[in-house]
Amino acid sequence: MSRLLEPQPVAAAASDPARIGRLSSRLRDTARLADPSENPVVVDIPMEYDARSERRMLWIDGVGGYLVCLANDVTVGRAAPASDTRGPDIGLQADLASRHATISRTEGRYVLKAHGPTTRNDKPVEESAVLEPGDVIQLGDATRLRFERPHALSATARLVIVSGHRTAPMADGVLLMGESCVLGPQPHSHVRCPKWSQEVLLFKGKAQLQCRSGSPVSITRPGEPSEDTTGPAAIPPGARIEAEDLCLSVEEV
Amino acid sequence: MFCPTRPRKRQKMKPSPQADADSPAAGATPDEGSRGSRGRDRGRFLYRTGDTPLDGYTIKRGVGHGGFGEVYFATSDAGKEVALKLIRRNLDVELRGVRQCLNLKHANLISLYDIRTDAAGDEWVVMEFVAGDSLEDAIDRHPNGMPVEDALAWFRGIAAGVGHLHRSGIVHRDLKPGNLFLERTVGEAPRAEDVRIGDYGLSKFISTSRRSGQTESVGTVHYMAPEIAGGRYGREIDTYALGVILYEMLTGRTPFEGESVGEVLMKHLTAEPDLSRIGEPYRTVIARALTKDPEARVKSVDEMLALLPQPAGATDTSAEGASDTPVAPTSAVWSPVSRPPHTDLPTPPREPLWQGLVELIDGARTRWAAWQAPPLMKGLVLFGSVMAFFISQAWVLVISLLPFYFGYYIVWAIFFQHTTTAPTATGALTSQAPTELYSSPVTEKPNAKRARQVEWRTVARKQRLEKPAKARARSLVGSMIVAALVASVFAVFAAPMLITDQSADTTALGVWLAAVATLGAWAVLLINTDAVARFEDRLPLRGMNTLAGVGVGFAAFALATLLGLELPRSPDATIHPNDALVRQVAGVDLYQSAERNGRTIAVPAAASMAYFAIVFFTMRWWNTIDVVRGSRIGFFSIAVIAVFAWMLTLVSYYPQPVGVATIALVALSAKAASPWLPPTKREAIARGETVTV
Repeated sequence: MSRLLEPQPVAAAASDPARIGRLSSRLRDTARLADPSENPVVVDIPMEYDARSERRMLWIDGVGGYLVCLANDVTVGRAAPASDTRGPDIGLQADLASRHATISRTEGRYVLKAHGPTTRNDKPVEESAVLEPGDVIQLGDATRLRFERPHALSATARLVIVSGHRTAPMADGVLLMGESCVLGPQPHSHVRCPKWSQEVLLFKGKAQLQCRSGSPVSITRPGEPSEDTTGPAAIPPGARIEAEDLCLSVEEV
Repeated sequence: MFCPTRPRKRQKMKPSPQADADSPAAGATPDEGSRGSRGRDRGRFLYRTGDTPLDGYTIKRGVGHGGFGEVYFATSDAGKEVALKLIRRNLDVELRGVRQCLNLKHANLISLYDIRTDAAGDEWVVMEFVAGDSLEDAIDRHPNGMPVEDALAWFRGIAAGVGHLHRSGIVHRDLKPGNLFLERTVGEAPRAEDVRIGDYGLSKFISTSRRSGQTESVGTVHYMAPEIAGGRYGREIDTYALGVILYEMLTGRTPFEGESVGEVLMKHLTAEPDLSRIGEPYRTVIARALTKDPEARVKSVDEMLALLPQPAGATDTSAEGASDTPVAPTSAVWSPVSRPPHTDLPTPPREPLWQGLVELIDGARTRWAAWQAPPLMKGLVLFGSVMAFFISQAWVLVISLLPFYFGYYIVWAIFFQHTTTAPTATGALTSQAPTELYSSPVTEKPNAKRARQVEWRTVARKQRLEKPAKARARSLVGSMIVAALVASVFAVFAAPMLITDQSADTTALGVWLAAVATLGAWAVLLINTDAVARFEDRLPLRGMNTLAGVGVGFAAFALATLLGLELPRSPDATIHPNDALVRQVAGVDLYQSAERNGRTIAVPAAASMAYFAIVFFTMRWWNTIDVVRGSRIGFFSIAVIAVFAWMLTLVSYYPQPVGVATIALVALSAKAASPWLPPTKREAIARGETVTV
């Protein structure tokens, strides 16, 4: 995110009026983002959502597949068959209750609520516990998750399944997305894409996911011609983001 | 795959442009025609998420680019996760190898499910998808070598799979970290049963095409056995590659590196691998696997496995046997530790100023070589600057700086060289690793400790002796220069303090003290350097030391006479000459003709020689300057020598405190100047590594 917030290509932009316009609009957006009170772009996901519909799968070529949970409350439990719509948000192929625990994000903090036997850093969680970055959550006997907050400025967290259990659908990582999440080569990125030359920022826009990037990317939405932009641009399910060295698709789960 | 992947340290060579020919199939990206080296290793793939080039499989994402096509992650309609490998240069010959392997079953081989042809006529291999990292990723995470257990787990898994291939009559031919995977075990140590070998069966074509120059990925020359150049593709090329991979796992780099494909190939053919950073038994395994002659190479994968430490449990028994065989303790007592076995040896840190100058000159030379100018102009510029250097008398400045630098260097070499560790991460690692390494066997077998300690001392002394005579002579001369400097510096400070008579000549005393202490230290260094290893019997050493003492004593007398110096004495410091034991008991009066006044005394030759001879005879100087002595200076041992020198006065008189000061100064300068093995090297020797002493 830091790289996007800093207007790096100033020198290049100075010679190009079109880029100046883009840059200033980006800066304006950034300023708005920083102050949520006068920010019409970022809206909270409405509470009466169907939990399973608020997930996305990011398929990133050469990197992996990532399950992104957009909701503020995310349930973790035993994976249900694909036809069953009552499964947890994060389904694991593990010996767990179907809704074993809930992880809720409130005001940038994460609270773990236990419905089944749960420990946090090897201490039993009676009812709920506040999660700190680096905490290891154990669900049941053998399922262990590590809770991480890679980016200091973003509320987005990621869960690493330390015990090696599979998620359903199979993902290389799970993101609990706050307002925004960063994909890029830096270590603090939520999804580390080592070979990328730029960062891509995904954020919750009006009613859907949007994206922004340092240099123009080509965005193809289903049924539309592709569009070169640095964003903000909507990325509905089925959209594809491409650039010289990066390529990812958004899929509804 | 949240793993932080660091950029490879190993040289990645530029791949030659892919001879990308054919058939843009459905869903091809618009710039398909220009795909080539640019598209490789980057994010672009032919098919996208949701495409179904093969009936029944939906592509989810691109995984990577193999040597012959793209690999995708896909799911079947029923939800089975597979890897799809698109083989774009479609030849029956290439696929024959895959067909041959299609029904091989082994836990460490990636299962091949099927070969399918799509609507565009491209062949696809449907196979097991491995979710975890490749060995390449794992090596990247440990740029200085991965933990031994990890490397062993990987190696056992790889070797088991390759062994199965060999028993099935198949040579892999393209073993490399990029072809080896680990089924997902996030955050846990790898286990041998989770290792998967990929790309077998396809490799025949790849290896041959590489030689004929159509290669897409030439990174694998790092793993190519030398006999491949002669067109020989036996199973020995797999054992060779395994040796390279083991080397790379333990050290983080391949044994043969170079700027170009040709350079690496040439090194495979001719150069010997540098195994100095690798401990036993890995060194032997790798050395035998990297043997140039395939006939002489280790015979089978199983043989390699047998040479390596056995998996948990068997280690204890091998350690038991070690206590009886002190000959090769390090290899036998080896027990797994969570660190690379080699740990970079601390190269003696170079003097920082000199290092800076060398780097400056290197940089200048590179820029000079890169400067695009006509040779004549370059020559003129060079000539001009050399002339300017001499005409402007800048050289005088350089020359006049030299003595200062020399003095600085000596001080640095004595006091700082071994205290400054290399400022790298590996330096920090080294300082911790050894204690763990050799404390573990100690706790198991208390009686092993002594044997091992004696052992490393002997090794260190022996290594000193094994150095060429020229090197030893150089080291000795260096020590003597340092000894002279130390003696002179301390003499300057000591002389005014020793003066008892106001009229005495401080300068003369300083000169005398410096000269005598220097001579004494030189005698000690000449006779006793490396004497512990050179002489079994101490008597000849004592004899030589006594002779040297006589010489030093005479020199002390002669010099004092020459300088017209009467040595100051403090009546409180010791007894009166007449009360000395030799006079009282034996009736020998060494000071018969000596001129005495209250504060100074002219020491006669006999007294001087007796005093120094006895000190040199009694003290065990070879221990004082032993290369493996406890500490470099060791003030306690100097104090012992000084106390003895004072007590000697009671037997055979010598003016004090000058006598004690002289002897102490001899010991101090000899100790400061003689070679000393720093603790880091001791630990390295104890671990059985080769160290320059």
